[in-house]
This record gives sequence, structure tokens and C-alpha cells, in this order.
Amino acid sequence: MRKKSLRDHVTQFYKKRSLPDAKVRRLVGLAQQPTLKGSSPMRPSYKFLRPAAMMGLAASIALLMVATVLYLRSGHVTSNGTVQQSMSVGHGELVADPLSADLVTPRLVAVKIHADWCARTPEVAPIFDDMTTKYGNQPILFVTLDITDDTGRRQARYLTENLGISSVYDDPFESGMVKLIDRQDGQVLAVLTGEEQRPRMEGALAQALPSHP
Amino acid sequence: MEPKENRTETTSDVDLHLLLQRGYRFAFSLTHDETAAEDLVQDAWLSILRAAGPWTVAYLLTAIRNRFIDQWRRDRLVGFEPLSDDQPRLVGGEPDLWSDGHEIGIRARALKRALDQLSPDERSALYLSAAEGYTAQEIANLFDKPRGTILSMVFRAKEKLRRQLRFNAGER
Repeated sequence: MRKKSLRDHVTQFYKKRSLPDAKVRRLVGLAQQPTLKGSSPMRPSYKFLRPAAMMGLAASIALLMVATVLYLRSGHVTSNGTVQQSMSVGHGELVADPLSADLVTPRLVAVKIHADWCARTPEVAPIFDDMTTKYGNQPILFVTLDITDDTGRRQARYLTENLGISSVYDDPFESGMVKLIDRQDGQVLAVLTGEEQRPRMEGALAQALPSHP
Repeated sequence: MEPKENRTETTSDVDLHLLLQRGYRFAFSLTHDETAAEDLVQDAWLSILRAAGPWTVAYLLTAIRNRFIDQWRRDRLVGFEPLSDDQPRLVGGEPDLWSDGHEIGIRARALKRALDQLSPDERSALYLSAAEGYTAQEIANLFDKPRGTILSMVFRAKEKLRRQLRFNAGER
């Protein structure tokens, strides 16, 4: 134990600390991304919608239309357009009919927002996996958005816009969480960022899926 | 509060690594918890990223401190105690915050425990003055507090630290 001044001790104590290399690389990498310099990435404009993406979008819309036509012809929709549920919702019989309304348009969406650089992600991931196992047969769509990099953030935006839940992804750097969204009104029913919110999430799920055992 | 520093907008590799580590150490001095410090420096880093810079120490430290205050309740930070007689006089030039540095031997664990007893503001002020060589005025600019408050805070923090170290040593 070498003798030093108090100042040296305090200095040494703090200088010994350092951010893990992996995290340093990620954060420095983010800061060096050319696309993020200059303008704020908060509200990306749609000028980056390139022809290829447009074609992909057109193809999926066409596919959706074909699916809708087929669905309408299959007689599950009445003349005034309301969906007749072929079975009572959520009595464990959903899987019996592949064209059940809930299977085509799940009422709830559980979105996990993942980023490699996020410290909360490792805590949230197993909870999300548990939810997927427990509620996989319920009318819930489980989606993972990986917003680690620019490409992921762009894809996340495409996906959420197309699912009609764009409100879920309003901050490109908010990660390490699971959001439960009601697709009918786009309302966020619950947000989970760690183990402590699990009961709340389970409560929200139980309320939204009253028939769940 | 406008952080005073040359606003160099360079984003060279070495600069950013250093900047990040300095930010992390400052965050650690506030939280005294590795994970919380990592979260804090990351949040602050991303906020600067969103604002497209500038990548300066002053901005990063300010962002870290503001985030810390947002996260923790303000009343957990050190209060604004008025100066009393036993504290350094404010007239004259810039005093050396560590002028009375006599040699002592301390074990790392005892130091950690003693530093834990200080408030986040006291710890981070000690860190900035000891490790980063900040003057009282520079810390005052960063903390947005009067210079006299910083002087008394550092003085008080050092006293507490010494007392705690003596106490810990006696305990053993």
C-alpha cells in the first residue's frame, strides 16, 4: 500500500474505471455514421424510399388485395362489411379455423425493441420469449424491431408504418423494451423495460385477453 | 448555461473514444454504479447524436448530469448550504482545491466505501477537480451553481472523505 495524497487516490480510483470496449465501439460507431451527421435522424423523410422498396411495397399491397378478395369470397364477411367471427374469440379454438378473423388481424401486437448497444436488452429478451411461449396461441402478433443500426431503424419504420402501429416507434434510440399495442386504436396498453414491469404486462394481457386461462 | 469550451466538431476516432471514457467516468462518479453509469453515458451520447453534436466534453458532461438529475430525485443531490466560517475564503485568485495534500495510505475498498457516503454532486465535483483538473469556476459552470457553492462543496466533501476514511481505518 503505497502512500499517496488523497487527490491521487481519488484520481486513481476513477481513472481505473472504463466503459467496456464493445460498448465504446458501438457508441463511437454510431457517432461516426455519415447518415447521422448534419440532419437529425429523429424524423426521417421519405426521400430514401427507393424504387426497389416501392416495388416491394406495391407487391405486398397487391398480395393483400388478393388475400382480401379471397377472404371476402369465402363468406366470412357480411354485406355491411363487419367481420363475422366464425368462432367465439379466445376459447382456445382459434387454431381450429385458419381463416379466423383473429388469425388474419391479431388484436394485439407485442413489439420488442432490440438494439445491440442497449443495456436493458438482455433483461427484456427472456421476458419477451416467455410471453411468446405463453401467449403464442392467442391473437397477438409478436414482432422484434432491431434498431441497432441505420438499416434496422429504417426497416423498423417500414414495418411499424405498415402494421399501422407507427406510434410505437417514435424514437429511433428508445430500445430495450416490449410494448403491447391494441391494433384497433393504436393505444399502448403496457410497456415493459424490466422484470419489475412483468406483473403489469401480464395484467394488461389478461385484461385484453379475458378468455386466457 | 452555455458550456465554455472550444467547440471542435471533429469526430475523429481517438477523440470520441477519449470523450466517451471521460463521460463514463463522470457518470460513474455520479452514480457509483457501473451499470447505471453505462446507461447514463449512453443516453447522453445518443442525445448528442440526435442533436448532431457538438462532440465536446462540456456538452457530454452537461447532458450526463442533466439526465442524472432527471432520473434521480433532485432532493437526493446535495443541498445548497450557505458558507460558514470554517470554509475557504472567496477573495483572491483561484485556490488550489487540493493544496493540503499530505500523503496517506488507503485501501481501494475503504476509499470506495468512503466515496459512497458522499452525495453524487460532491463525488462528481471531487472527481472533476482531482482527476480532470477542473477549477472551481469550471465546475460551477458545469453544475450551473455559484463558484462559492462549489468551493464549499469540495471542501466539505474532502472533510467528509477524510473523516470517513479515518472511521473506516479505526473500524478495522
